[in-house]
Amino acid sequence: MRRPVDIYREMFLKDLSVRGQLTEQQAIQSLDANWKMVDERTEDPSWPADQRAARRIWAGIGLLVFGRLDRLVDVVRDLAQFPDAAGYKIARHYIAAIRKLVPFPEGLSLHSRPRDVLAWLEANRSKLIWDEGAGRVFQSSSALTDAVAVSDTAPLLTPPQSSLLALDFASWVDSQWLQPFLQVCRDHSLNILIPDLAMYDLAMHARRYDDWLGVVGQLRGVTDLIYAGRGVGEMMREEIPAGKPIRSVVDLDVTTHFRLLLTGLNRGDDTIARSVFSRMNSIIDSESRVRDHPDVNRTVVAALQEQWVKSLAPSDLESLERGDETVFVRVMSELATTAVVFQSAKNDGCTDDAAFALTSGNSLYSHLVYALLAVALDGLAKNKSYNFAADGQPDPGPDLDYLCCAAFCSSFPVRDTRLRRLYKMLNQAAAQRTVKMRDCIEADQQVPSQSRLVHLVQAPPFTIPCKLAA
Amino acid sequence: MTVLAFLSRIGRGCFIDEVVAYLQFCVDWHQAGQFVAWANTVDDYLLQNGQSEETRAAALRAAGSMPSFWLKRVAVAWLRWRGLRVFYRGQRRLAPYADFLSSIASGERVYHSDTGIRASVRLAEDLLSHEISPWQMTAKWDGEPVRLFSLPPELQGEVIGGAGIPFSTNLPVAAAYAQRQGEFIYVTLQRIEDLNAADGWGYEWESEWVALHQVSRMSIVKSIRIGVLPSYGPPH
Repeated sequence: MRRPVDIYREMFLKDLSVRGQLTEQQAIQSLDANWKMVDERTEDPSWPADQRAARRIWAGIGLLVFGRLDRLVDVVRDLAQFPDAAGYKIARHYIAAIRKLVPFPEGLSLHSRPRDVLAWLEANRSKLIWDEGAGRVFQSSSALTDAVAVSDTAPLLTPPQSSLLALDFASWVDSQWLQPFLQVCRDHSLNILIPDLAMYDLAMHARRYDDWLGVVGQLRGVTDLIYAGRGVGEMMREEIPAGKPIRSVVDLDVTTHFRLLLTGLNRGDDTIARSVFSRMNSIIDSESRVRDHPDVNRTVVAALQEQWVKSLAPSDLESLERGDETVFVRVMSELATTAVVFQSAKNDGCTDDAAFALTSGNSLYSHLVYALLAVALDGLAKNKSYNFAADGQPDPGPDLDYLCCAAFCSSFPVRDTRLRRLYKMLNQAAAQRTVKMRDCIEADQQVPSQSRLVHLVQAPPFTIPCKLAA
Repeated sequence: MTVLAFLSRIGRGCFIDEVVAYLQFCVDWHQAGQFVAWANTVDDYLLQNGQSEETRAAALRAAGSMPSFWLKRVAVAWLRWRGLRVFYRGQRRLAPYADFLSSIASGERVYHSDTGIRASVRLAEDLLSHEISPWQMTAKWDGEPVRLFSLPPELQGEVIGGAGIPFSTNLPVAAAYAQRQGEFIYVTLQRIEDLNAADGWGYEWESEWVALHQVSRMSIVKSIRIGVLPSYGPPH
């Protein structure tokens, strides 16, 4: 018996071919292009709304069939809004795919209760993930319940309160380094954060399933200690509008899925692993276009290095070049440096209050700016090889991501000594800065709170030459 | 035979052909309900099991042969011998003296900002120059714009199915396109060589055939008002 998803894929590949056979990736591109075209032509009078809806329904179901859930809610919304669209030739043979591939609760019918289905989908969208092995969507909460029943672990997953160690990709793939590290974590029940970037880096570098599984599988023995990190961009976008620092870098949904994957591997079942690999492999190239901007990163850091040279006292520069870490920590903890964070947040569209909240609180945004400043400063100081104005320098972007995720962890015991040293100095600077800011705010208690900002707003030595939120 | 040949006219059958075509239409009308039931059975089988050639063959085996009264077979054989065939089309009522026109020829759609017969011909030529069948594109995409991976850039986002006029040899299929006020089913008698079967798209029992650009209204044998027949397929 063939899986329904294979039947629908075959139908879509036939629909989309003009000359010769298409690959699945090409089919996805065509479906995406059609979806976008409908959105672009909402004003076209010769293309009635229900026909456009039929095309969107067709394209959205096509994307679902190839494992993409990002249009599913819109498809059901279109079905609820344009019931006639379901009868169009282009869509009618595909409507049943939604019911066959998505685990709706008993009694919910797309045909008779589309608005109820829509409400259910909107409420549960974040819990739905594509399982390539099964060829259908499954709902994570039910899968989690199954896993809990099998592994008999704690009933609810919560972010770790302490003892969270961040791991970077280079350390993860070095099995000689990793094994003793995992042993220590097991012995002392230390939790491990796999940053979102490490997952991405793995998908970029291990394009064959066996290679990918080899790296992921190393974590099988510490399933209950693993936490998956949230994306830095996502967290920053969450913080900026309201100026409210994030509470945790842990993504509990992804953690749940990742633990399920590892639990499956421990049972000898790699169904979820195959599904996750397939999904990541199918989106990694488009993801790369969004994430990787090495030239931009290098340009920004090089510009900051120039600014540091202009603003630092010659004696401090000399000390830094000698490798004097105390000077590094002092410079990074000065309120003038803090002012750069404040100005940067303002430049990213924050109000004064929001910028102040991000600067004074334990925000991902501030950690990212400090990491940026630290990487630039370090390139000037001990690590002349990290002079980003020169050609052939590495992309500083990954270091920034790891450093700001690690700022929310209790330790960052990675293989790279430079990253470890930067993390240590940033932590020391943060501790000193906290004291300075507290003193500063306490001294201002008699005046309106807004004037506390004066210390920060006045004369930052320089500014970040771009919008970080962009 | 000499008399029959004398009575024949180019592009249209003789009086006897029209009588035979009308006879076939009456049989098709009579059998419409059986056809719809049969087609839905096959349709359900394919929705369950897929669209491969083997599955289609299995679906047809499982559903049995398409309902076809002996009188229809005789009528079809006669017309085929005459190089003709009955084609049905459901659409909005034709204006007096108007021919069937493709969506671009009629001005409903544009191709590269142009419309009319000339634009319709240009689209067909452009498709053929890229070895793409305008008949197939009409069967697939009708009068809607489309973007496809393997389409050349100049055709991306255009109404690539807009040069053709779809017909069906099955009455209930055409009836599905004549369900609303102001829509008619047209029974036409046309030379087989003037149309192309849309092989490889849709279902065989949809029996979709496509003519390009313009079909004379002189081909009409009969027109029927909406909603009087069981229909198979999409309602629009």
